[in-house]
Amino acid sequence: MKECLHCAQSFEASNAEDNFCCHGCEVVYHAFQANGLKDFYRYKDTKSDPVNLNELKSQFAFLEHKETKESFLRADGKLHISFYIEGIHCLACIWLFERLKTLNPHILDNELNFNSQVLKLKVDPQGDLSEIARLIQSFGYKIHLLEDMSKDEIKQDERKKYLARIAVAFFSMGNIMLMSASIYSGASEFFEKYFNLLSGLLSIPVIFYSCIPFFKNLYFSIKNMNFSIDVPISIALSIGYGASFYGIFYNPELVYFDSLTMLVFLLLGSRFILDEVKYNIEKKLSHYNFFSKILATRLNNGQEEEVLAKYIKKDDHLLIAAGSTVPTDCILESSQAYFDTSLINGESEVVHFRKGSQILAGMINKSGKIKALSIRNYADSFIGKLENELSNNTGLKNRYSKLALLSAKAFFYIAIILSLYILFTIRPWDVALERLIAIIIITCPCALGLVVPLTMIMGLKTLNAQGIYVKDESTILKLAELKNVFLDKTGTLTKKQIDYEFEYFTDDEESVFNLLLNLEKKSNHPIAKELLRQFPIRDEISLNDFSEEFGVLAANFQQTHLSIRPNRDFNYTCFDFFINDKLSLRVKVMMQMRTDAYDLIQGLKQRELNLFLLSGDNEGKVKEASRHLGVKDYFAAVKPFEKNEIISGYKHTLMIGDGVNDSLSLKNADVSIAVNTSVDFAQRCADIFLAKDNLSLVLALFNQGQRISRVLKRNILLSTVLNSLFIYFALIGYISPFMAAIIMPATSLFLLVHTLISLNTNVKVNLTKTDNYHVLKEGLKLT
Amino acid sequence: MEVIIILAPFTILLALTFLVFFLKSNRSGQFDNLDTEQYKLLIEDTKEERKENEQ
Repeated sequence: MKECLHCAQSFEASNAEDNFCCHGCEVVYHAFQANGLKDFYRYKDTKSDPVNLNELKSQFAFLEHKETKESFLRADGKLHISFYIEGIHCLACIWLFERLKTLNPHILDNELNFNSQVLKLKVDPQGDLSEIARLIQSFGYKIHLLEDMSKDEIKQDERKKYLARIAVAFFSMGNIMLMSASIYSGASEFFEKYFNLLSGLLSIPVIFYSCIPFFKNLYFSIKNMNFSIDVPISIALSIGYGASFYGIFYNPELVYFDSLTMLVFLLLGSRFILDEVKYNIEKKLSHYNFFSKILATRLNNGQEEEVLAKYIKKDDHLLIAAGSTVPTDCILESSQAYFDTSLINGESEVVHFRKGSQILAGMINKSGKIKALSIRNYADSFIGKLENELSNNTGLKNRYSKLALLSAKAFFYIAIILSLYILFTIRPWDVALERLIAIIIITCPCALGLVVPLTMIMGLKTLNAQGIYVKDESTILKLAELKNVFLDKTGTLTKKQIDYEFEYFTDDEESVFNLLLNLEKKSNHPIAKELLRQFPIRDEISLNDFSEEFGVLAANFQQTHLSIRPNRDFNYTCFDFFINDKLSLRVKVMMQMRTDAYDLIQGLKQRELNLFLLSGDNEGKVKEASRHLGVKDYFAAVKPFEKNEIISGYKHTLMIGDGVNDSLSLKNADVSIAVNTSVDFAQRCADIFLAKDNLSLVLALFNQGQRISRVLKRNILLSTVLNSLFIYFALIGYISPFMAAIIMPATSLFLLVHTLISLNTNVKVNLTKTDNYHVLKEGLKLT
Repeated sequence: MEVIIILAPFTILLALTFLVFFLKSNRSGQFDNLDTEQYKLLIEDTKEERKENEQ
């Protein structure tokens, strides 16, 4: 046993010169040596995963493209680019990224955050970004380009300002407390006035600097006629400070500098903490939310050039690889090709196209690499529009629950009514003012305003940990209202892998099977390709006179005539193989149910939801599946747009689907879940997508969604009850402004702890084991 | 007791200096990256860097 020089994992060495566990580690080790970075291994004190070169193939060539590069240019004339780096493990990584500047002269500044694994680079405009990406990859790190880090920098700035405001409030609060302690312990009248004056002076920076966020929000609330919790806070602060300054000279009973400054400090502090928690979670979420960039290969003066699809213009010559999606409407330039057109018209069969015919954005190339001439700008194509629409629509939105907003508003009006009541009934003035301030501070529904968003974001975090990605928080609350569930059959409930069943009508099975494979090899049909993938040809023979028309394949082998004809007598796909027009072999194409599909159906039924199967397959196949799964209602032979129409006819709908052909209905259902898919479009269109290939996660989502709603409701109830109780006590004068200033943040803190505890314990989910888990980090690449 | 009249502003001034120090370090970015900087202490200088520091 030996230790690999790069990753330090032990491995069986075949000879004395063998120092690496795999080729990947060797390549990376030499990259370090070549760059004069052998010290890396001095700092590296932990084992790392062996390098997988395949994972490092992700292409950053598109960064060379001029327009792409310009999009990274900032006001300071430098290129600012950020990468999320997988596999940052120890000091050595920090050391390495610290050295990055010396390796490429164009890098002006580099900053790595060890915890969030984000590397920020400042590059001079002459620098080649793709070369820098390749350099980092050559050290064995898997990297992802992060977009929109400008938001992050603004956030950083805001955070600094907020911290400064808190510091100022803390400074004033501490000093004011000392002085009011002296007053309470019986300072003489002269000293009382003196201390009050000093407190007043110390409050000035708090009012004019620390309180700016409250007054800003007050301004926006008035301007937009919106309700915000900062309205009552600002009112309380203005009245309180006004009365206090008046009180210094005329009535020392009215001085509340201590309680008000403490209120400001506690409010700012609790908001800061909540913001940090929320921001950190959101940041982690967004890093896993990177959809693949849509790329295309363009021919530029005979040179292949990889660009972001958004830069594809009319009259560009494109190369479209097998399995890729056509990015924009094109004219086919290759002699012939097959396309999956399900995104556009919902045909599940692949369609054959000849040279010169028009192909549309969203079709998937099912043949080899083809050439095409674009006839439309990417932005005007179906996919471009879809992407544009979604990019305006992704990311977490901060929506308060309606209920929370409603009760917050109710409290606001109660505060106003009670204030008027106090002003008109209670005398003398100083007692009235004291109760007024206490009431306004106590009624302020801060707990609601702080805890509701926190509940949602904590809920998203726990879902995320299980591999469930929710794009919009409000979706979780919608889950409870669902009534009708639509399930796509193919791919969602059935296995993706096709199984073949063979029925022979001759004795010489082996040679017949070999002839079949050789004939299928001539075809480009996906079922034929899948057959050959599962059963590679052993004995290759040459066939003459091949023809393929209307799904019938025919060819000659020496004197024998071979043909394959589809058999439409069955409920499922089936074709017959004829040798000299004699039926020799029947091939049945079977789709298998996923094992976790049964659990899913069972679980959904327990929730008393109406289930419907949707499928493009024919009646017989779907009927069989529905009987098998125990789902009574089904719609067979529906095309994608018909699926969409069916769903529109129902209310409170959930669509569960997987493929490109479900994209339309995923987009239009009330809630949609994309499962076990690597298809980017389905992911983009759905509200929720599952990163693990396991249908039981849908049930986990329901459980967790229920729990989040429950915690949310409990929070709203708790804060309502507590607030009402305190209002009553304040009204009868049991709570002074000073106590109110402590009680209010304390309630928030209490609810915060309640939320963290009730959402952080793990939900027990019994996951059915499926054979393959794959984590989606990057979707498919489009050409 | 009259000494408090002078003492109180002085204590506030003392506290003020701490506040100013904090605000200064906050502005210079000392609290921006709390996860990484502490590790850099462990990294040795290269030869060139050492020369620079000695001068």
